[in-house]
Amino acid sequence: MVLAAGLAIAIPGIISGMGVGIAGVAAAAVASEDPKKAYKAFVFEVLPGTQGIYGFVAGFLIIIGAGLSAGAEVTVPVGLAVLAAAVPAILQGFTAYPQGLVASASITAFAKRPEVFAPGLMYTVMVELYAILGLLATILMLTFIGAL
Amino acid sequence: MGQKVFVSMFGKGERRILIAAYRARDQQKLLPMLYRFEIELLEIPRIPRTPRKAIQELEKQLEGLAKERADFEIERKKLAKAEAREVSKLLELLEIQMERLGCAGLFGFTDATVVIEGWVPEKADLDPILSAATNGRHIIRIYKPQKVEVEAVPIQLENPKGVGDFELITEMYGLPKYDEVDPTPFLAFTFPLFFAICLSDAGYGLLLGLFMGSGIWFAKAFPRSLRRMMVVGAACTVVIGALIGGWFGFAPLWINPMENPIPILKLAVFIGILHIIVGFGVAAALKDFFRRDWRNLILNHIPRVLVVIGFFGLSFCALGVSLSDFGIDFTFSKMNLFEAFNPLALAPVMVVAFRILLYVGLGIGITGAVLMAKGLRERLSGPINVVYGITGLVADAASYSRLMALGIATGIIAYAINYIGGWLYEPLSPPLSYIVLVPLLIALFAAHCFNIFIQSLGAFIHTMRLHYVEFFGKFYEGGGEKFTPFKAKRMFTKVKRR
Repeated sequence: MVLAAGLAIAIPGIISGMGVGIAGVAAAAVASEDPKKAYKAFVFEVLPGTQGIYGFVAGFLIIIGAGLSAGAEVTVPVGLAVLAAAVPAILQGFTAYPQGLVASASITAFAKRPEVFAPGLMYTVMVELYAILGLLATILMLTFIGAL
Repeated sequence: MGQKVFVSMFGKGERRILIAAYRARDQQKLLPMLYRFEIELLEIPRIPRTPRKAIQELEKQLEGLAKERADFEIERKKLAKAEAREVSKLLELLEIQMERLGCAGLFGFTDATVVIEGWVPEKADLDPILSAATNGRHIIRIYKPQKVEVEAVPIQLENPKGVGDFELITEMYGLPKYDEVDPTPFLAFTFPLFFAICLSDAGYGLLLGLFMGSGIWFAKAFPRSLRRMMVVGAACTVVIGALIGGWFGFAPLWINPMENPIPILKLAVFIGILHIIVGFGVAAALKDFFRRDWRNLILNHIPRVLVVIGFFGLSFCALGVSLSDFGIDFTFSKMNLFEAFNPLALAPVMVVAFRILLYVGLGIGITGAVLMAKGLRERLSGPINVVYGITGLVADAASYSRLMALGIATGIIAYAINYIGGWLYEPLSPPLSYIVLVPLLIALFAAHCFNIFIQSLGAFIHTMRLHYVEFFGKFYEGGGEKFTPFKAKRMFTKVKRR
């Protein structure tokens, strides 16, 4: 169960870092050309970061739900069930990387033509749905196995 | 040339110094070669002194120049401070004059008359202005755009004050065409609602509203309409947050999503289905009404509403969804999935009603697709698309579940911040705990502010996406051009009325 929480927080976190990194490079490049666009590019940059947050949310749910904080004993079957339930929340992190790619492409497009800000934002957010569904699946599974 | 050229090189890096010694008569042959290697000739000024002395003198001169430059800079700033307004005013007047003169080229002229053609908002009253300008010697003719011109009409949205702020969202997607429905009034209602469910914390809503409404310099970086929009959204968040999220992660009134997320998931999906129904049944129907496109209304959009209601009704029956969470004593009659959709199986009245809606809707939809299709290929693909559209509906409804997921994410992070704060504070005994209290509260506040920032950004963007993709996709075409009237842009000058 600790493993589940740890993985759910760590893996999306790492990949979110990579996604934000890619977008950040593009954002910095745009900012150096046109500082006025720096803050709008920032909006794109934080988007791949949300997967890390979802991972943290799932991990924290597991921690408080299982009463880990209170030091309660956890049986092996429940622990395994929780680990299985955490899988979507762990794997959803991998969507952060492609989202970083889309974000960086959108930043470049936005730098060339400011009017594509909203469409670029949409392209980037499209990727996010699957991360949300991953988190959602984990939350629902945790609810149904009674670990919440 | 053999040993007639002597070359040596100094220095490091991209640019180096090269000294070449050669006979004067070889210069003509050598120069092109030097150019080919991108060698620049260094002109040494003729100074009748030793190099060391010359360098000293030059450095002194350089210092003097730098000082002079600084003096000039100061004077320039002084001048700018004193004269900037005056110069800007004159510049603006000149620019306005230039635009006016440039515009005159677009008019039609004869010796005694001028013809001006342009777009005018329906409500504008031109007659008094023209009479004043021409002493009544003018003819004007205003007519509604013809059908062929509809594509070219520039768009000015007209909405009451509170709704008008949400035009920003519509504009970002693209303005409606002249004969389309302006989606802004729908947005003005659902946008703050969705935003509130995503943010779902009354305390956060309160802080966000205060920040956006305060008008401190930092908030002024956002456009005015955006700020007003956020204030409306924040007000909704206070109400909804108090019900389902609590205050800074504490004490929700109705339901704690961390303990039981299912009711909020149901709520999110119900709201989503309602949103889809409004998209097909109200917005798309209104568009057909404006265009007098009765065929599309009856054969395409109304059957879709029936399909949506019937399909989701049957799905809820198959899942046995209960509304008891909302205080309503109602449960969709539980049925086996295949039996619920099987039109021949025996079933309770409710299921039969949903079945009738679904299959009548599908029937009209398929007939309509065949009737409206042009060519054989569309005749075949149209009906398939009508049936296939159902899978799209499932995806749409699932997409609204993000409302709940984002809300829970906000709540959990707020809870985590409080939890960590409490964990730090609890073991401390009185003398130390008083000292730590203030910095701890500041740290908590900062952490909550960070959460507000990230979550409201997420809430805004996801709400925008739900509208652009799920809602606009049902009826909206967009692509209208913005109405930009010819007018003087004045920042530094004002017109005085006599």
